[in-house]
Amino acid sequence: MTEMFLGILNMSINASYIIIIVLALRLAMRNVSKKYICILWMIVLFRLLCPWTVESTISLLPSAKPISMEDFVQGNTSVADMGNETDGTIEKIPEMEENDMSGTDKAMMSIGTNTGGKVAGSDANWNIGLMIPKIAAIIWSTGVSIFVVYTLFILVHFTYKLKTAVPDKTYNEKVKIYRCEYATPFVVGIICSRIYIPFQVREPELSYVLLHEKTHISRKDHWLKGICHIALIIHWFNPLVWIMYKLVERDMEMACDEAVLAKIGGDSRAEYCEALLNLATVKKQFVGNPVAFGESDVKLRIKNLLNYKKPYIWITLLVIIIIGVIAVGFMSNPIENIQQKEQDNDDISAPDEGDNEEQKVSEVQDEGDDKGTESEQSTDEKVIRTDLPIKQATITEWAEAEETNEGQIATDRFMSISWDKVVKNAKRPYANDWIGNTILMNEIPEHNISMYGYNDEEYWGMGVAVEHDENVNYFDWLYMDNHTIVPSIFWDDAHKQLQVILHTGSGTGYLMPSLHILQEYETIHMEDYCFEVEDVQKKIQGRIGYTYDDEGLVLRVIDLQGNTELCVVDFEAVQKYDDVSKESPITEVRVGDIFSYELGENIQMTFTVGYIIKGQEHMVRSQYVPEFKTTVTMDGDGEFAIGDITVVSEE
Amino acid sequence: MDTPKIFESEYRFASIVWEREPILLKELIGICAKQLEWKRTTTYTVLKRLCERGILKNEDGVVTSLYSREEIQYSESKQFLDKTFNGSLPGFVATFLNGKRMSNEEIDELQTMIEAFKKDRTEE
Repeated sequence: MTEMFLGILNMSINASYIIIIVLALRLAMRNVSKKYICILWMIVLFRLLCPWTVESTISLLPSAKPISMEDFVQGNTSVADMGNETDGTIEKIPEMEENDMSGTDKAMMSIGTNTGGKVAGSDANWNIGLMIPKIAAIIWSTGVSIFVVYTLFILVHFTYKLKTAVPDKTYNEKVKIYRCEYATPFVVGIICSRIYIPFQVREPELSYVLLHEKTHISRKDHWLKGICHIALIIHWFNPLVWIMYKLVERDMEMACDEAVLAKIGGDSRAEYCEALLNLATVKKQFVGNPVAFGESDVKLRIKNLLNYKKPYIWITLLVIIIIGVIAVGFMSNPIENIQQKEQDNDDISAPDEGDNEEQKVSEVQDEGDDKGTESEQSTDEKVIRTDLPIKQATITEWAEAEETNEGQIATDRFMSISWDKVVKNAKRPYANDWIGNTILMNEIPEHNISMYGYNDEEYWGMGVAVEHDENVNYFDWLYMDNHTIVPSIFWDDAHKQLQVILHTGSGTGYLMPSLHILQEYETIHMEDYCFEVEDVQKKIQGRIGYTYDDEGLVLRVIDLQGNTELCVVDFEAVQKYDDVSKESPITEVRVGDIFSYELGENIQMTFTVGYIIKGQEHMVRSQYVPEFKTTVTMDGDGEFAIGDITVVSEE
Repeated sequence: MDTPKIFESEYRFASIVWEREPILLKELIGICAKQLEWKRTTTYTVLKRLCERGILKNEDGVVTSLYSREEIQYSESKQFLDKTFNGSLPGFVATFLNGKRMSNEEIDELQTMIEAFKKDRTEE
């Protein structure tokens, strides 16, 4: 509906130019027959109501570009200012509970900081500027409804009054004539027209009235009036259209008078005018009465008739030529040429393409060269912007990596194997040629710790036994997958914890090992505390924020905890290998599918940050974006936490 | 007694009743449809209006008038006279004579009427 309203608005604006010109012409053509003006008004009505336009070079309309939705989205610097929060005051972005929210959802969640940024396409929905045309469209349609209701009301009122009208058979006419109690004569019916004349009208006025109304019908004036009314309903907001409406009414009457005069002859002019005078009613007519002819402005009509003189031929010819010019010049729209578009782009006002909002980003990229005001990009020195809104990195879809529900069953099966069997069949750890028995996967001889893996027919690579001194604990872990690397272990004697990394969870493009901390109690029992992959991802994701400057191609990665800058990557400077460019900006930064651990007194976790380039699906891990490192700790309740984030420097 | 007003279209309707009363409602509807091109509902509405005003009466499907045509005409004319000529009949006649010429027949007719009127007055 908003589109329709904008279309009508544009039509109204175009027609307004013509109305102004016709008004001027009307003044100039006072002495010419009013029927020519009526032709001009018909042109105006055509422009007001016909939605189809042709473009041509001979159009006389000023070639302002039509208003479209794009004029209200972004581009207004005032709207962009609303979103910028600078100098370290970032909005608290709530910790995500769900990790299966897609990237766009997360972008939408950080509302308030996004209206300034132009990168994420989904922001446009929340752009306040877009509300303006929507509200305007609603107001417009409300107005239209009111007018329609009003018109219907008048029509109903009319028909009610007409019920007691009485046919007048004294005249033998083609058109049906009725007498009624209404104050003025009028015509009803577009197709089967009927003339209604008040009871009070007698001779000699009656004949003139009859002639007048019949002339109206033969000139199809009632059609014109109806079309005018429709135009007014649609363009109610345009004051020029109101003026046109009143003037059309008047001009139509005068043109009709002239036609009547032509029929009865100039000698009867005085009598006709007298008749008009006698019929002049002081009663107020309904404004916007669709079918009645307001017999007001009688004075003007009489003046017009009395002054009417046959003009010189050449004036008539001139008028006809002018009408021709107007008709041709204004029936079509000017061509929007490319030069026009480029010119317009230099203005502060927005671009005029009719693209939908998803393509906003590329559009912005195209205009990027022209908007030099924001990033002050000089050729010598790159300014790293610190005022861009900070977005939160997203977790990749691997968060939903299959969780095997076979845990319970595996435990059962595990319990059915006795320890003797496990020890007896111990073999050296070879990943691939091990078939169905147990393997010694790792050991710490100085602490008397051994780790065995076993396998049963159905669950391949599942089941781990940890032996410390004489005690064995069993865990139904998956320790094998396509890329089998036996688990790493470290014994933290101070805390009596065995740190285990299961190197499962790897594949093309991802590496998500599992960290288990086995807390030993009295060397008998080992409690398994696992830093779940989902938890790891959430924790990483919650800490990494970023800004991307699509002008300068600068990516800043930020630790959201202290709002400290972790690294800055200037893609423009390193353009050789990376695909990031103005046409292919970064749309998302992703974390949490590549991380690894280093065991020891302080467990270190290293993770990488990747990004998505517009138009591509695969995440890119650039050699120019460094890896980050943090510490992993577990509290007394088995809760894991990560510490400060630092950059892994290449040394 | 104040005679009720009547509007032009109602007058035409009442004329039909005056001409043919007492008239069956059914018949009246038919005639209105033909002569006045009125719908059934319209006839009903106007009849109801006139009955409410006390000009016509509809009893058991038969329509009669409570005021005669002359009474109504008199009332209407009197109102006009009161309004325009302050109730002065001579004033009206004088004005009327000003513009038009009366034919001999009309003069005679008027004279006869005045004579008859005078007679009635003296007889009361």
